[in-house]
Amino acid sequence: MSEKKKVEYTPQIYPGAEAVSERRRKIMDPDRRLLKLRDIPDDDVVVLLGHRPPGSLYSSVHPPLDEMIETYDPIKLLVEPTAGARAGDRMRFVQFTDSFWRPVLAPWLRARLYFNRFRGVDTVIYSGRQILEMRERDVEAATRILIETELFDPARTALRGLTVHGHALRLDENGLMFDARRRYTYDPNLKEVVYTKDMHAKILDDPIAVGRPLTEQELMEMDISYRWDTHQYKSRTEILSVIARIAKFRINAGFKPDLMNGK
Amino acid sequence: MAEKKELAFEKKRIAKESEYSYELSAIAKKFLPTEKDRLLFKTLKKVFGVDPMLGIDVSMYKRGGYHQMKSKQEFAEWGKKIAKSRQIPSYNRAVGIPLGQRALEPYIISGTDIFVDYDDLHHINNAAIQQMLDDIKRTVILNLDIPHRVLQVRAGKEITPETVNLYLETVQHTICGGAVAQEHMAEIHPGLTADAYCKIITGSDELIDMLDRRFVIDIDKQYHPARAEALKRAIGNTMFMVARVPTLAVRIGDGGIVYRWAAMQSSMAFISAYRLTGESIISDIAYAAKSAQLIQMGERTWFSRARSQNEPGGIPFGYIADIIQCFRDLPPRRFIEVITEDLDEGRKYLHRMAEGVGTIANILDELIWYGFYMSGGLGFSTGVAAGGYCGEVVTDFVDSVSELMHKYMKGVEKVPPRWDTVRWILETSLQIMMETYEKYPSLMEFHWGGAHRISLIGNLAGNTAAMLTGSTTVGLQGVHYAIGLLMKEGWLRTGWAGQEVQDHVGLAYSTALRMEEGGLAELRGPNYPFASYTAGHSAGLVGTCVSAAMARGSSWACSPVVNVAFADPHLVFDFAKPSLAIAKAALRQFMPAGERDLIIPSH
Amino acid sequence: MRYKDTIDLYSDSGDCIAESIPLEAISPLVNPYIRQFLRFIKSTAFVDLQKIESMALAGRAGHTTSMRQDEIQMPWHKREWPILNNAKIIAEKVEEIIKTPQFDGGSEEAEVHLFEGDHKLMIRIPNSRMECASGRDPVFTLSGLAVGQVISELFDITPETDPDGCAFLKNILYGRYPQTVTFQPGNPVYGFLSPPQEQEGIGTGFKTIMINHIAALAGKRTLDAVALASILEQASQFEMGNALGWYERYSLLGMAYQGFNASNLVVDFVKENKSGTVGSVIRSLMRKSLEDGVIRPKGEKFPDVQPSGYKFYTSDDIPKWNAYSCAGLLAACIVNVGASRAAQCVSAVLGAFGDLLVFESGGLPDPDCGRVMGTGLGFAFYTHSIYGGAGPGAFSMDNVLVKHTSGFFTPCVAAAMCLDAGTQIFNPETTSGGFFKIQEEFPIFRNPVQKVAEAALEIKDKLR
Repeated sequence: MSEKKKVEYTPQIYPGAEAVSERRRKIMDPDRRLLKLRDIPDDDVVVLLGHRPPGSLYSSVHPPLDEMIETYDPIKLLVEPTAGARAGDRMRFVQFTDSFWRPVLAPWLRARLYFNRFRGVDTVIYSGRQILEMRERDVEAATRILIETELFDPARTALRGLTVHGHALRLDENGLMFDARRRYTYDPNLKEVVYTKDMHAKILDDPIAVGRPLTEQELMEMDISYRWDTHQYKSRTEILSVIARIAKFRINAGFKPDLMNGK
Repeated sequence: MAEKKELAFEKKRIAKESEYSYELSAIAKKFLPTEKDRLLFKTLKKVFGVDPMLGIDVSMYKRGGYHQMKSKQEFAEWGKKIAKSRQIPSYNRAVGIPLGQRALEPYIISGTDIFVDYDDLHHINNAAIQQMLDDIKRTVILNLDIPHRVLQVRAGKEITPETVNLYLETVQHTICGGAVAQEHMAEIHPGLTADAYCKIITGSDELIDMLDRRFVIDIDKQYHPARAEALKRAIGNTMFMVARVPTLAVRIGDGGIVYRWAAMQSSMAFISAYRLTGESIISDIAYAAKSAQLIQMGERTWFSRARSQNEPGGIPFGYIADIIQCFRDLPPRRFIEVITEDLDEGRKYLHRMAEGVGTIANILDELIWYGFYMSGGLGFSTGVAAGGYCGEVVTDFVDSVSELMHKYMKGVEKVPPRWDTVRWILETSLQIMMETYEKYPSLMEFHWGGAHRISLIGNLAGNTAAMLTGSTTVGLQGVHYAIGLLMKEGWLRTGWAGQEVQDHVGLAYSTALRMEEGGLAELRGPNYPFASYTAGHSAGLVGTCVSAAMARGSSWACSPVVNVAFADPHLVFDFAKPSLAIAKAALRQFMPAGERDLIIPSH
Repeated sequence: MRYKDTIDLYSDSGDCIAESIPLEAISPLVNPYIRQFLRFIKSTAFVDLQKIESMALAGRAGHTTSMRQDEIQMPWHKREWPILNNAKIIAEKVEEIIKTPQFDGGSEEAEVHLFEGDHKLMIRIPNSRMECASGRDPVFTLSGLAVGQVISELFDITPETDPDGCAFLKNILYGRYPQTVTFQPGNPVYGFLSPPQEQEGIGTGFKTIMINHIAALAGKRTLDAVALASILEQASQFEMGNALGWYERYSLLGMAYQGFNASNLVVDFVKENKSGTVGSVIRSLMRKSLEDGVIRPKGEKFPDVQPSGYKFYTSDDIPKWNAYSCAGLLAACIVNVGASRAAQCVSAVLGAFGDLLVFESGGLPDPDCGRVMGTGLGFAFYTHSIYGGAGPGAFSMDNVLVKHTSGFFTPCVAAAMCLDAGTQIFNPETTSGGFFKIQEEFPIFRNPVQKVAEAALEIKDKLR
């Protein structure tokens, strides 16, 4: 085979010249650091997830990989397993609901974020929730990032297992997203959102504070969606050009693959 | 790490983009008072009782739970009654989450002033919805020319107006379960099958003149004259007979019994009216009735979701478009002419389309096929369907879309069915609708699921492409584009997890020439494999057929005879005013057919 | 030959097996190994003698449940037929019945083998019988009925001696058919593919096999399973006409690059991203496609470069771009599932890879022009909700959830089932135990890429 010139490739990730596009790119780009906004102790993360008592051993669904005898397969030896896979952890999940109102993250951006920043990801994208399933210790590590950084607004992003209704509702009098299972409230003394139940709505022994709600100003800057009163979708010519191109390619090349050569 | 590119407008010191955004935000708010004149504003204010543009609900968690709804209070009472009488618990509000911490708002049926409870729109709670389904299932269309020919050629019988009228009178007796030529048969109480009858559809005035008018669907009376003329021309001199099998029969059996019942009973009527014996020509007549030109509403579905004929899964979208009767009194003019000439007149077309598609298409496919046949249990898709015909939401959106078209399509004679040409109207329509959700927190709350919003505005925006071009294929592409790409990039949020299946696959499939792909929207249906498990597109898929027919000024979408079969005032459900029928049923004012009171103890 | 393309095939260890093979040499229409494989798959029947004996002993047949299979209990129909003790005689007699005469006085043998400790029969239906059939039906009809006749003769089951036994034997072999359309789950008479009356959709016959079975037939060796799945998928695409004319090169290239690791693309992507993510595979795919000239920037000015600097890429060879993107898709599935060693993670990649790629490439079509993405989203939903059911491997390749692509979807799922370390309930060990044994007995399933390459080399100079 002839030697090909190695090409340097700079990822472009997402189109758009304005702030929202830039924000989307930042979130999707694994080379860019996410701003840490709060500290949640490890044990609290475990308690909020509600899969195991903090400090307990991880349950296994199979022996550690190093102890397993598998038939020879070069591919299995090639990919680096995650810590949880290596240990044989069961698959567990974290599920988030993102309010529609000035979201710092929304379902499709979650998927794009997960696939760029995490390994060993299983996610299903709804409108009112998004589940992330990983090996248990991996999902704990991912949850930390997802709730300690700018990807989480304590008032309008929620850890929510069952009964997810609320992303589209008006906010309550404290500006919190509706939760039929009342997992969290606003503590006016602490001025923070406090979880009194875990993700599965089981009552906690000790409530867990997850930080102050972001202000309206902050949310306007961090909003990843296009809105009529901030960044109007109808002005996003670049993005609209790209998606129109996507559609055209799919239609025409779907009809006859060579129809779109060079287009 | 990606290098920051120097953009042209960064070279000089100008205001940062964020400064513009906040400025825009401040300016934008100044326009909000104009929203108060909007139909949507007024309706949502009525529904929620507060300013619908407020983003905070101060009464959240403090609304009294399920007691907000009369229906749920009634359910709770009944649950206790049933538990006591049968000694096994039934419906029980103590189980599960406490409902009603959010507003359980009343639903106003669009086009009426009628408020109903959301539960009243579940198909099991609504007799009109059930009757709509039953009326479609129990309909089959036979062609009488072929059995007439058999009678003439093989039996040497004369076919005259008298014999045909005698036949028609006889078949009214047999179709509802009366015996004719056989002694000691178990007959059916006519009170149980009062909704069974047969009528003739023909395009020939000469034939109509010879027939007893009671037995004919009067096309001239039911349709605008221009539509009537076009339909009669298309149907021609043939004599179709639409048979309505009893509602009770399809409730006991399934759609598959309908053509069999109709064939058996019409054959018996032939035997009696023409004095035939049990000879070999009977088999020819039965075949002629059962198969030769038999038009069923639905065909059998694939094995893994097997249903018989005449069940919703097998009904093509083009037939559903023809079953919708909402605009048969309007002149069949090309929509682009109407909307550019007269905004109000154009709006009328769109409102009628929206009503028909929003009720019949949404209910038949979303609620009943996906939500019931394919799933079952409580109504997860009730809201998805209801979004199409409640709250004046679609009405308001249609008003915006029609204004857009009225303003920008002036002078345009024809819109070519090209993707690049129609993109702008689709994008503009969709963006207006998306912005409306952003401005109206109560609207977002009303359509609380992505599935609702996608089903509504994704489909409606997509249909604008069909409305202008007359092409159902471009309409399909529009729907898929609107949902899978356009809405998605705006909000980064679509619908239920599998809702976009159709949209990503569908773009490639729209014009493909492959076995499981391609085909006109009129001739697809819920049995089309990738559609069979992916709810949320019915309004778009049926809507594209209706919109394209409107664009062309056609008097039907796919089948003239199916269209006429549902322009029948004797049908129990009113396919011309479906919203009203559903609203009446919610108020317990709709009397369905097939009730068994005559044969059960009074209760 | 229609196409000028040549490919280099590589093993899963990254070794080059064969260079400069004409693309058409791997076509199911001509490649001798693939043709032999398809014939084997289509015309091979299995009869589980042990199951027949145990069902007879239990008085049970005609069930419709997959697990337990005991809702029908008619102990008064119990029969003690020592079938296993007579396995060898049964095999000989079945061969006698099924073989066909030939003109030269010889006969076409039926190739009947006993395996799994003489508990199961494998029957190769002779070509002459398959040729005078319109489909694969003889696999089910002849095998079971021949065994039935032999059992009847061996144990004297006749209308005179045992009328209920005659009837019961039929139900053991075929369940309630024809009262039911299908045979009973776990029917003792089966083939690789499903019985034809269950087939949904024209031309989809070769897809009617459970993905777990393929993983088992590959001994859970990842790229072997991908190759076997690709062969069956593409054979079906050819039968459906999806690989006809305009699409033929598109299919063959996809099969080569995704199914057979052409140019070592898949393994290279995986290697480069062994600690990476799906996103990093996308970047490798873009880089490699640019390097190989499969794509190029469309232009240097607006609108080919947008105000933000965002570039539109184009391809002068969309079928080749599709093949590369399908290879990238498979690599992304392997990287993601390989990281978690949990097969459930494959559906998310199938649903989201296309989304990431279209925006990275400025709008170029994602794998199979959006068909994979749409199918993947549905697959993700239905493998994670109350509406569908079962894990990814328990679906057959013609299941309505997975069948909407041009054959580039299920090979990724097969790969995932191989990589799973034991997180699934419905894993190949549970659903396809017998197929592991078949794989051990019959070498046709081993090293499929090697065999495809060798067969292609055999014919490469003979193709015109």
